[in-house]
Amino acid sequence: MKRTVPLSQDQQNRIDATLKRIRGGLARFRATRPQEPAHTFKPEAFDDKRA
Amino acid sequence: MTNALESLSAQAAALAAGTVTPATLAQDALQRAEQQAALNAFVALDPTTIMAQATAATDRRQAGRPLSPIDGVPIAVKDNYLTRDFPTTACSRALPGARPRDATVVARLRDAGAVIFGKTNMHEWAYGATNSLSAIGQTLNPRDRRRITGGSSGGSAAAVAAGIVGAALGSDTGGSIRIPAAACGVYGFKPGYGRASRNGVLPLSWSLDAPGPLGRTLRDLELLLPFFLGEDRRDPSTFGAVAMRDPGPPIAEAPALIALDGAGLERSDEVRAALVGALNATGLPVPTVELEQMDSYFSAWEAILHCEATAYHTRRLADHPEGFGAVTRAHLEAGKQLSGREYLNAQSIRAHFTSLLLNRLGEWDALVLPTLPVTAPMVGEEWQSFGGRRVTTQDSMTWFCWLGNLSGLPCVTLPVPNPASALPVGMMLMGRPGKDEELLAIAGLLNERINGKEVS
Repeated sequence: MKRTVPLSQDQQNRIDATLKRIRGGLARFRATRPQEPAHTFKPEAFDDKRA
Repeated sequence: MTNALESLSAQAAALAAGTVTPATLAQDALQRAEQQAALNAFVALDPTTIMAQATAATDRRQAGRPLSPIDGVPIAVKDNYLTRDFPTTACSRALPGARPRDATVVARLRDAGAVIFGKTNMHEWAYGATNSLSAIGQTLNPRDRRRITGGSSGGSAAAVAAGIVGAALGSDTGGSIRIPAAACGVYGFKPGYGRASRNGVLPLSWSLDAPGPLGRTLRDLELLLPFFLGEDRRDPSTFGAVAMRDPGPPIAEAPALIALDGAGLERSDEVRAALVGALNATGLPVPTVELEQMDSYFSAWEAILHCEATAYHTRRLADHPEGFGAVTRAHLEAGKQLSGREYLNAQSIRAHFTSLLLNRLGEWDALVLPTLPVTAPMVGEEWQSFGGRRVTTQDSMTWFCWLGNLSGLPCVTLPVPNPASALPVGMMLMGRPGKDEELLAIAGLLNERINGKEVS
């Protein structure tokens, strides 16, 4: 059941400030080359039959 | 009960010597919990359940068949670990307290005979570092009840610092073990990512979370870490992880330390002086390296945190938004607005950061920072000023600790002397990947030089 509960002005201000900070920080990052994201995925970790 | 029996290791030694019984330990702990109820450290504490476990442990001890060295020792558990005999609520009104099963770490401890001693207060969903937002209210710092414990494992830290239990379980996504441990003057260990089972610990951020112990001594952490480390088939992040091993003697003799500093890593004069004094006491050379772009790295941590937390809570947020505290809901709503591309950009910056620490600072066995830039803030204080910065109390708590979660490196915090006041100051050490045991050994060496030899 999806419910609509409006955000308060304080909550909206917090959201705006958080997004501004995150996007600003990500945009300012200087690197010579992009690096593969630090996600990891090991298919064998999901094999319930592994020894 | 004497102070000497306040640590888990001292309690285990006394049980082995037969000078105390598990039932007596549990009764004493329950009495202290009642005496210190004003700390608000516990969200669930059922004497009947606790004494049943302690009585069974007493019977095993008296029959000469203890299950392990910690059989009969009371251990408190943060309220985001599933437990079959206590409700789990994450101190949120959005989660009815179910008792489905034990988290892997809890099950391992129970199998070893530990007495699961109730559930500890925490920042709602572990989504904050002050412990000021909880369905049961603020946790107070045993060292000064006008001050916060920090969080999110604030109840666990308070229970240990108050001497109610010798050790407790916590979880750490941006410092939630280390922050309250440092603010309350106890020890805490965040295992490296992928070494410790998160199974049955309610997630905050899958790729940042790590469960770990808090204790009154480093030996307490050493006794509990085997229950965290190693592969757990129910946690894919631990695939291939090795169980706790003996690091051997050599590395701890003269570890290479590097202290981190720079813009974004400022600290108060009081904390700086305490850390310098502690490092001088080690007698080891500790060169300082200044890091750059800390605001970008912090943004990467924050983006990953909010994206993953929002993904986990999507259904709950849609169905029961009013069940979350106002600030927690604002975090989650912010996470909804971050894109997949932004998330992967953050994970890419994370790779740069981890590579920077590991490969471009010179040779090191441990990186050194204060655990917190300030001493424990007063309850209700919303801002902290230090080193030319003015930041929210929330941001001051995670100021250094998020580095350990973004990089996934193992971390430990130990209390160090504070010449300026009676308030605790913590020193954080970060170790190399897969070297949790070596980090603990290094912490042991430094702790002995800074604080003296541990008694038990």
